[in-house]
Amino acid sequence: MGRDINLTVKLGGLELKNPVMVASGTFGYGEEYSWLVDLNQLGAVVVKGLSLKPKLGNLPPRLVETPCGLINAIGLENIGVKRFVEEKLPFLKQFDTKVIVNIFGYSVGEYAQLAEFLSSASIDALEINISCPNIKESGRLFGTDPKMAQEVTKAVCQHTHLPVFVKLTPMVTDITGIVEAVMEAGADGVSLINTIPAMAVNIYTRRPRLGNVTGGMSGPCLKPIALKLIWDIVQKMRVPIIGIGGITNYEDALEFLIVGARAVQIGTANFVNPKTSIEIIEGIQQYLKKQGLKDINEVIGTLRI
Amino acid sequence: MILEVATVVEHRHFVASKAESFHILKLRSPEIAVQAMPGQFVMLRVNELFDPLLRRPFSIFHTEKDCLYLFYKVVGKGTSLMSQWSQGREVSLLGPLGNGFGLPSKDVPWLVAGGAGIAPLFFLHHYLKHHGYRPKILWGLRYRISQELIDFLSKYLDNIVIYTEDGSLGYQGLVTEGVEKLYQITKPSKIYACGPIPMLKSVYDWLKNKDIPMEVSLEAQMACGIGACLGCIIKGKEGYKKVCCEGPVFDAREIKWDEI
Ligand SMILES: Cc1cc2nc3c(=O)[nH]c(=O)nc-3n(C[C@H](O)[C@H](O)[C@H](O)COP(=O)(O)OP(=O)(O)OC[C@H]3O[C@@H](n4cnc5c(N)ncnc54)[C@H](O)[C@@H]3O)c2cc1C
Ligand SMILES: Cc1cc2nc3c(=O)[nH]c(=O)nc-3n(C[C@H](O)[C@H](O)[C@H](O)COP(=O)(O)O)c2cc1C
Ligand code: FES
Repeated sequence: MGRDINLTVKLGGLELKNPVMVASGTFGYGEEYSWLVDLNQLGAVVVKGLSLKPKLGNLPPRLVETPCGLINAIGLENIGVKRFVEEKLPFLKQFDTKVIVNIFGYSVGEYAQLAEFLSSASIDALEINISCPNIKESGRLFGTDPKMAQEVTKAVCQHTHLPVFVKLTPMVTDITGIVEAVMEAGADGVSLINTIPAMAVNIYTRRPRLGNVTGGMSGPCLKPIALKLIWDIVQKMRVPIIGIGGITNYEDALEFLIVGARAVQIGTANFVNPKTSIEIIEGIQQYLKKQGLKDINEVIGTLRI
Repeated sequence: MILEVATVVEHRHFVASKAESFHILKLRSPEIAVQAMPGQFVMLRVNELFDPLLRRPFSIFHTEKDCLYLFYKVVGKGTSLMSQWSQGREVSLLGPLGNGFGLPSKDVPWLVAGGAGIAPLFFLHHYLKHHGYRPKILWGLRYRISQELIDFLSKYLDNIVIYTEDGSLGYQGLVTEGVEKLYQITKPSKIYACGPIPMLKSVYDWLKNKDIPMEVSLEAQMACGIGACLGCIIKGKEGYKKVCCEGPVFDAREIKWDEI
């Protein structure tokens, strides 16, 4: 099916066979879901956020469900970039899909070291997480300050030949300022949104329902917020955008593409229906066919106002 | 690990006034049912909407040919929606998940359950008997269960001792007191336990200096159920453990009981 339909999209220096990826932190290192999902069909797999050293993560409980949302406070637990390359990457490389590595550090220097280390690994792109609510430098989030965001991006770009995407937080007053800053620093594009800071309380124990007290909200409740932020960017500039937030089916994905994202990532929905990403690829194909279109690029950024 | 569309074959509601309510859901789920081992669980999708959002974990209570049974209690949104399901309904199941119980080295193992914690132990009981063991089962409840449920369970379980907190069925008291009493008469080869954390802790406290192996089935809030989200961790003596894939069954001596 769909041989005559083109789903290939280009995001800066990265070409994907289709615009559907799975989001960092919701698909492990790829292997976990490979029993249920044919990884060959995905545009890309974005792996769990990696740091220089292994990280233990937050105290439990780490998850709270809310209506149409999930608050997580995993705390960026990961096995460290070295073990990833040795133990996890060889498995992923067996598949015909792009591997994007999500990284985070505690200082600009750490981001640079991560970029340098990963540049010699056989991966396809870097996604820099400057938006996780759980990391800070001198009390500020990298992702809310255009200058800091630019500095981190520049450091990464100077230490790698790989395409670089910067993952943004929605918690800013002017998203376009951040996008301008990171694009100027050499990024190939931006991915948004990361989770929204959130919390929940147990009224009987009067204790927070997360071990870390606060966490990040994901899931269907995010979609309208993410769409609006992407729309803010699209109105002002032409940059490769990866849309993320609450996507559960092909209709959701198409909303992002129509607004102007060139690709999408599926996060929380993987937990609910592991085959979401595959069904979205099929759904987009059907949609294009029914609309008499031959190329996904005929849909991207075509919102009619 | 299989993602399967199961069908509700039968749904029994054991509800009576002044009795603890439980529900037994029988699902035709051919692929998962034949693979399932005691202690394993399924992640069940409550509906095709996204509220409730996440799948719900349930221990496998029993299997019979191409069917599996779940034994559950209504505690919130998901389980109360489930309790309205009727025959023929299709349900998305992911399973069988988790590690399952290990066999005891010799007879006689004791199975200690609290409330809905009977679910995985019921399956284990059946399995142990099939393998020539003569397990004893001790079940603690807050108050009595309906006569229909007693009748249903006694078709399968022999050697069961029930404790209720108010004495409305079986012996009065906590199941842990039952364990101590029984120990004065006979010794277990191994203890398997599932139930509320305070119950598990007190069984463990009692047992820790004795030379008796103990396995517990633990719960945690879960999102993926397969080791991908890192959301379901529990504190072990050798660091964090993922309940969904390194458990839900753990050697009780590997858990940091004073920190959970
Ligand atoms: C491996 C595993 C096996 C399980 N097996 C069984 C079983 O066989 N039978 C059974 O009745 N239940 C079982 N549970 C618990 C069951 O998953 C929860 O009761 C269920 O998810 C609650 O869903 P809900 O939407 O009704 O409740 P929610 O609306 O999500 O929550 C209602 C209340 O229940 C509490 N709750 C929610 N999830 C859990 C949980 N996982 N453990 C303890 N309390 C919880 C919440 O804190 C809240 O106070 C198991 C849990 C795990 C992790
Ligand atoms: C359990 C969990 C873990 C996550 N871990 C990461 C991470 O390590 N790095 C990162 O950049 N984003 C992480 N995210 C954010 C997601 O990649 C995504 O941006 C967010 O969940 C919004 O998309 P969704 O609504 O489709 O889930 C995580 C999200 C969840 C739910
Ligand atoms: S529930 Fe996701 S890792 Fe256990």
